[in-house]
Amino acid sequence: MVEDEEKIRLALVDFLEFHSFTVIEALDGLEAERAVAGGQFDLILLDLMLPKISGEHLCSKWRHEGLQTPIIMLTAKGQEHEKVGGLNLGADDYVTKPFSLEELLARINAVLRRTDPARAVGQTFEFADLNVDVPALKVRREGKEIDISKREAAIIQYFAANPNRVIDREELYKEVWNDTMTDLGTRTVDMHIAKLRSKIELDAANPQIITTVRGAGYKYDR
Amino acid sequence: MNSNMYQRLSILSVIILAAVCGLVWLGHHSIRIWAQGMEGTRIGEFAEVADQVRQDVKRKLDEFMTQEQNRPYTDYQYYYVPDDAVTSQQQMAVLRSPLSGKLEHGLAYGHFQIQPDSKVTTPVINIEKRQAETALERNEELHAKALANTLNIENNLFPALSGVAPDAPNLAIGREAIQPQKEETITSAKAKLTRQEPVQSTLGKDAIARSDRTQKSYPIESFQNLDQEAQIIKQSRALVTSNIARNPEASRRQVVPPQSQEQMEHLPPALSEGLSREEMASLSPTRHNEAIDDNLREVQTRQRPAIGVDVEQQINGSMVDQSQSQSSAGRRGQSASPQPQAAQEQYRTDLYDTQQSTAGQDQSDMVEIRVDPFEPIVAPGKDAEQSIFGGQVFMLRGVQIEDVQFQQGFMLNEEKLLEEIEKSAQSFVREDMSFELARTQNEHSTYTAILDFGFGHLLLNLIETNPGGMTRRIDELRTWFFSIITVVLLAVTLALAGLWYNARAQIKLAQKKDDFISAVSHELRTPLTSIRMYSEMLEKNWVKSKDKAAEYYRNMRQESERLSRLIENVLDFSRIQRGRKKYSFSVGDLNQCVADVVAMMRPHAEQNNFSIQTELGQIEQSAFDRDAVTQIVVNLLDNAIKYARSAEDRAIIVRTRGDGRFVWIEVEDRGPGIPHRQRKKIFEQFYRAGAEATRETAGTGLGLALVKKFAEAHNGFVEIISAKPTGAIFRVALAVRA
Repeated sequence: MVEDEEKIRLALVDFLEFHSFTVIEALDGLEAERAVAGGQFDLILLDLMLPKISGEHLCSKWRHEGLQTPIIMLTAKGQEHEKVGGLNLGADDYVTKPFSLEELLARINAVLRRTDPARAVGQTFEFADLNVDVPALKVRREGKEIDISKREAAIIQYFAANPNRVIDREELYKEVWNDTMTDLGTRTVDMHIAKLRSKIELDAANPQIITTVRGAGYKYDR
Repeated sequence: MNSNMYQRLSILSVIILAAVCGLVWLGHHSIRIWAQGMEGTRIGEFAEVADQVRQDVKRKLDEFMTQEQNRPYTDYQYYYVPDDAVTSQQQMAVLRSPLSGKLEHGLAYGHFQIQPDSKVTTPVINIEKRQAETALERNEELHAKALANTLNIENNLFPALSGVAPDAPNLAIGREAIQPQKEETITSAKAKLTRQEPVQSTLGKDAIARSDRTQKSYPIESFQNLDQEAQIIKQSRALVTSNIARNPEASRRQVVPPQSQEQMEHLPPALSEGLSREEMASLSPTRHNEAIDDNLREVQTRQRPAIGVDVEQQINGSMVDQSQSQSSAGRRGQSASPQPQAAQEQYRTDLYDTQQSTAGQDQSDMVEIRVDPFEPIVAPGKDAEQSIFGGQVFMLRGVQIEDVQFQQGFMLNEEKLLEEIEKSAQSFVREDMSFELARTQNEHSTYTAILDFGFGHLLLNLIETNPGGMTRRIDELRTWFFSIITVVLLAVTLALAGLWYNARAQIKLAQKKDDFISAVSHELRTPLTSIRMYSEMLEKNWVKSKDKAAEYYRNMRQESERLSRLIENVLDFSRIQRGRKKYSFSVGDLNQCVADVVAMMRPHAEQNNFSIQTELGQIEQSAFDRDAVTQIVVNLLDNAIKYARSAEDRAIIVRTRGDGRFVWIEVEDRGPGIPHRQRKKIFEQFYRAGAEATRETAGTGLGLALVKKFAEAHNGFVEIISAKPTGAIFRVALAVRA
């Protein structure tokens, strides 16, 4: 959370901690830059008018460097062109001061949902005729339990979060393995899908849950 | 918007500069064209002068030639019988020729007549009778000149006419001139000219080739009279006969051929030496001529003696040149008529008859006289090289009376002609021009006009006497033009610079206002955001502990105070801007006022870890605006808290003191201080230290501007001095008023 106004920063920290977020504070652009470089964050709350390095500059720099962490801009600049400019710099949302804390919380959750499939579907969810329990790494069909690996749980989670849409191997590999696609990656994806099908499909030779779209990828129809 | 404005301004500047450049080019080009035009005009002036000279010379020559052309053929005779002598039925009077007495008449020199027998007579002297002239009448000089002229004609003109050596005069020339094909005569005369003057024509061509830009031929055709018809005059036979009879040579030849030895003595020596009278006679007559002779003989046998007597009587009566006339008439009378009285009677009758018969269209009594136009003949003289025409120019005309042919003419007075041309040129040359008449082109001449007389030419060299004059005028004009252009360019540049400066200032101000609005918006939103957040957390009970709740309430109060300060500043500024700020001065305790503000600001300062000390001195009782002084101290303290945040010693000292004239309020901090170049700027409205995007400190840029305005409202001022070891001291002076 990057904010130079002391009173606002104090309020935000108290509010976020109250709602079970772990908050790292940064008082200016420089501190923010150092913090982001040194740690993993699920979300950045960024004020724009900051001492030392401006919020806009930081945002465009991070996006340029390929940082995927969602960013919500919190600023007094409330004009349309300022909002558009901020979003175009790579922000995921834009909240103008003064704002309601309830709204801010909703927006934070929305952004996290969009970018984190686990958050979108939750830890236990329905997947076709299956019940998935991610923390237990188990899938249940009519009381019958099937053990799955952590990777397979992630694959199911991603398909559950993106139903009715063709997902190509590259996307899947990037989102689940967090790696860029290679020839090896294609084989890895295919191998994992085949193994997963043998576990969850009734007839692995004729899959019904995760179907193959020839020449495009895989698809989960809800 | 700003870049748009700059773009427009740039385009405008480029257009204006391009226009000025275009103007420079256009002006320069115009001057060049104008200069060329001036040169052209000057050359045109030269040509015009040349043409004016040509026209003037032509006019003079035309006048002269017309006068000569209209000269009755009788003028060429020593004596003549005037027209009215016959018509008025009076006694026949014989007059001396108007050409007598001198050789020069205008451009003509030495009028002469060539008789059919090639004898040359002149109206100036009676060559035959010269020895009989009285000493009184004899003008030796004139006489000698006339004789020389006669000799010159015989020696130079005759051969030119015949194209043979002077010792073989060809009397057939007379015939030639009688030919009706005038053109041929001229052609042949010209052919002779060309033959005789090869040097001159080559010279002329050379001159033309050398500089044809400034050389032009100006033909003066006065001497050529190509379109002039021969004059045909009808006169009574009696008059004509008497006039021809006045011509001693003609009459003598007709009356007494062959010539006696005694008469031969009076012939010009050259002629008498070269030829005997018989030889001359044998050369000249043709069958045609013999017919003339017969006619004349007839006339003379009938009338001549009578005229002779008449003339004698007339002269005795009072007329010209008594002794000469007497002797000549006497001799003629003696030799031609033994009975003058009878002849006279007869002549009178004849005259009467003529008079009568003229009315009755009696052809036999009317004689047709044909006078041909003059034609130029160039004959080499002894000074041929010096002459402009390469020789002497004779003007000759044929006079034919029935079958008798005379040649009459004169020599063109070259000196006089030159004088006349010079006079013309003198009257026409313009400013900074001089002229020179020459046979060759002058190297320095700007314009050379060839005055072409047909048979020869003369160069009129027109010279520019002030050749640098035009260049100087053009240079002057150019200097003027470029001075003006420089001034214009300077003015345009200044105007553009002013425009740019003004536009920049406007843009800067607009930018500042934008920043101000943005800053005010930020400054308003920030405490509002805090207040809203704290109130929401309290409302929703998102509070971990009671201490937190207390802290939230405190923060909300502080933020609302901050909001009030801001709103107060903005409103004050707005009032001052609109001139609606009202001050209420009242005498009070200024120290107390300052102490109250310090007490009010202390929590805010302490929140930011600042301590405020006060050193309030003894000051005079003075009237002041309480709100303004409060705002001054608040803003100075706020400013110190904002900008001295980085200081290790976060101490602020507030002092007051008085010196009789002013009450001083000082706020001293231990911050980084204010650099000299910013000391003026920080009191400008909307000015804030640091860049907008990376705002180190909050604020609207109004605080110090308001401090300055409030100080000025108290007839005071603000100044900044450096504190030691670091920091700044803001000193506000308020004028003491009772």
